[in-house]
Amino acid sequence: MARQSTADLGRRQRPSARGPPVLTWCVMSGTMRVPVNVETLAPGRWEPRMPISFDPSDEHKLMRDEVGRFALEKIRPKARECETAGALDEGLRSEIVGLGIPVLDYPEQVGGAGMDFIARAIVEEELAFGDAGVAFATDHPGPAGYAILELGSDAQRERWLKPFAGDARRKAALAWQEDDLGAELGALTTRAERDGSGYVIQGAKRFVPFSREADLFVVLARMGDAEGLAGVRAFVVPAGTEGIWGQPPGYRLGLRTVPSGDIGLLGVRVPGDHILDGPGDADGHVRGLERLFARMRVVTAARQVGVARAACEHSSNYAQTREAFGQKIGQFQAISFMIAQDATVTNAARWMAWRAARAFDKGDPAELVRLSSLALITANRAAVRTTIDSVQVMGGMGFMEDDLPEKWMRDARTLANVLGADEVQRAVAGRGVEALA
Amino acid sequence: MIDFELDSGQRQIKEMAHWFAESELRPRALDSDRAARTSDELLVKIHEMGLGGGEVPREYGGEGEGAGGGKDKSGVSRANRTQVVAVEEMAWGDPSILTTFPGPGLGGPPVKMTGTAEQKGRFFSIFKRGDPPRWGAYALTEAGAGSDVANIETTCRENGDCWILNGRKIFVTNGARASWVVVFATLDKSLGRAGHRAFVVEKGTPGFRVGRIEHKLGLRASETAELILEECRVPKDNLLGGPDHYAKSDKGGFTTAMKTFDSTRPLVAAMATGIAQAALDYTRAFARDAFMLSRPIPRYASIRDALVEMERKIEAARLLCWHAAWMADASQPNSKEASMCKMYAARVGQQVTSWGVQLMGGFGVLHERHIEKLFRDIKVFDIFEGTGQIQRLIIARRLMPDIRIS
Repeated sequence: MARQSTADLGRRQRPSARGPPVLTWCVMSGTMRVPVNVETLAPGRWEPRMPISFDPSDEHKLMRDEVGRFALEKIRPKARECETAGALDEGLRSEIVGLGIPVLDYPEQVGGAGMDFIARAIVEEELAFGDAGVAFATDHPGPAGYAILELGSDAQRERWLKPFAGDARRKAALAWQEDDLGAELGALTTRAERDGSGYVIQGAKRFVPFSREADLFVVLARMGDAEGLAGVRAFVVPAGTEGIWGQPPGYRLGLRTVPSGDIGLLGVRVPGDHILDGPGDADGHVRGLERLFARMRVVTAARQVGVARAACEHSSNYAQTREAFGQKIGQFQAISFMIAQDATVTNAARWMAWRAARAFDKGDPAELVRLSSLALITANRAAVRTTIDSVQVMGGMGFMEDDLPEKWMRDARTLANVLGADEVQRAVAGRGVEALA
Repeated sequence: MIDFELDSGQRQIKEMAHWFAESELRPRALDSDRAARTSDELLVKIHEMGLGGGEVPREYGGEGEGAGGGKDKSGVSRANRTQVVAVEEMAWGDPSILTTFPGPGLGGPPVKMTGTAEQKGRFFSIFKRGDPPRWGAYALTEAGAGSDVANIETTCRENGDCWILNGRKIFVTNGARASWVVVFATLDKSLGRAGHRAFVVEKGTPGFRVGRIEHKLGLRASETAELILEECRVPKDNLLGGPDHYAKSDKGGFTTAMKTFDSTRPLVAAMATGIAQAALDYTRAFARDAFMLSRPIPRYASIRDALVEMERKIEAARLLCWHAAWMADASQPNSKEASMCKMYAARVGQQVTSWGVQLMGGFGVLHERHIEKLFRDIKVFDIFEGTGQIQRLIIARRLMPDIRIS
């Protein structure tokens, strides 16, 4: 199926009770002749199934406002403290879990709220608006949970996801990255082999959040000889399983509230029912992996939008208060143009994230990979740009640890790397559905 | 005759600076960043090798322009050109430690340019090689006066045989360890720039104390201090240039501050270029090692393109620095070019370091890879010595002097 552009959407879905559309030619601007379906020009006959709308549902609005208020009043004041401690304030996590946020888009059967993925995008933006590190650190079962959701059977979902609902202490980690940076899953070197009734896993994973604290890991490993995504399987490995060990977390530029380290898997044995085998066939399995990564990209993009928005707001407030040369610095075009640019790219990033989330909810596999990759690139750039500017607008003060812009700058740059470089995202987007390998 | 080669003396200096950067600065870069200081042992070594920060004229016991000074084959001074080359190499080693080098530092140019012979003798004599390492400093910025230098509120008033200063200076590099600090104060704020005076305030002067030391995003080894003056009694002999200097010109104090920037901006730009070059080198080495897969992947092309673009920008930044320095050597007014190279190099530095972190993926945010530290270090280069926005203003005003640009 050829790729749809935004412009096509309305046309293709238009109901046609009068047979196939009649093409005609239309002269435009004297030089170009473009084929146009005559029916689109007739007034009253064009009814898009999905009109353009940026209006969140009432449910979405409620979540956005509540979480937004919580973020500003409760999360933001603790941001610095959590970073210095290298850990999330447990009271904060309890409150967030109490609101049902970490499982809001999980099915009710496993204790979730059954909301759509756009709700997730909206909520992640608000959480990250409070603090990106806190947003990331609260997210359990997080990507591991998404892996179980997308790749697990109903029994597996119930078994491993339910315990997370309402539990503010349980943690999970998805171990997928290796030395080959980015989502080139076809090149994974961690391998799994059948071993009697179970499996044995051998390899090493990098940059695993909560490498030493997770109660449960989901590990992506190659099994068999199939190329690309078809050769990748997911395994649930409970913490404490013999052979799995996590390195102590090390220093990172940002997101220091989230401890992250490498893990080793030395002959790790898991029972036969620990391989996630929900999808019945190879194709379904590949789709599941694509959906998993699309989710991670959109969540990351939404968080970057939150960080970018915090930075824009800070710059804007500062520029309207700080004086130099007898006026507010925002009155200088150098500053006002910078802030205008920042706000623009932040908005663009949000709409890109929502567009990808909507494609996800509609179950459109052709668009999912492309849109989620493009959304991530846009949001990463917006966040890095706006946070650097938020330091710049403050001048020397911005360079000091007294205020948050320098922290946001570090967080945005770090968050932009959690799924690999933008160059990887571009390659993925460029290749379309067929290969993540 | 247009040429971009270095002469043999400059090449030797470049090689020496590069050697020192690689063997002495690079191995200590991460520790200095972590501990937010430079080890005493290294500071002593730097001082004994005569690599001090800031020029001490030869007649006062210093290196003067050193081996990089003198004249080139066409009879023109080459000190500025040599300096930008050497400073770029040192910053390539570690920019943070570079700012801690003993010597007069940013306090040097005002003393050299406007000090009386007696003052130059007195203040420059403390940096002799046999002595322990010492520092000078420069205190202009205040909480309400960053870009708006004319708005300073630190006051000075005559009182018998001394001047009395009151105020708070912030963001003073080496401010706590400095033996003396050039402090800018005003006789009367309503006089604007005409009321500015520059003083050399010595450590230990009653009423002069160190306030807070800042915790910074980058350049963490650099000491950034707040200095507090409370009824501080500064001897009359420490008014920089003496009363005559201010009698001559209406804006003597302000001019001193601004002229300093014309000579320091190209050096700051050269530092930014060195940082960018280091970032590119780390990223290139990483790309070579990390992408050694047995099968080609499409993204190699975009990585190669990124590296090429980074290299191009760094080359352009370097040439802008060289141009500003060449004009200074030829005694041509170079304010516009100084601002151009400062603005551009800082911007390129930010782009290149951010891109480097990006390309290195999960590794890019780890301390041991150096690149994230460079990303943090470079930010202030678009802020101090005049923000990028101020530089653009200066450039625009020089390009279009017939209209009022604000």
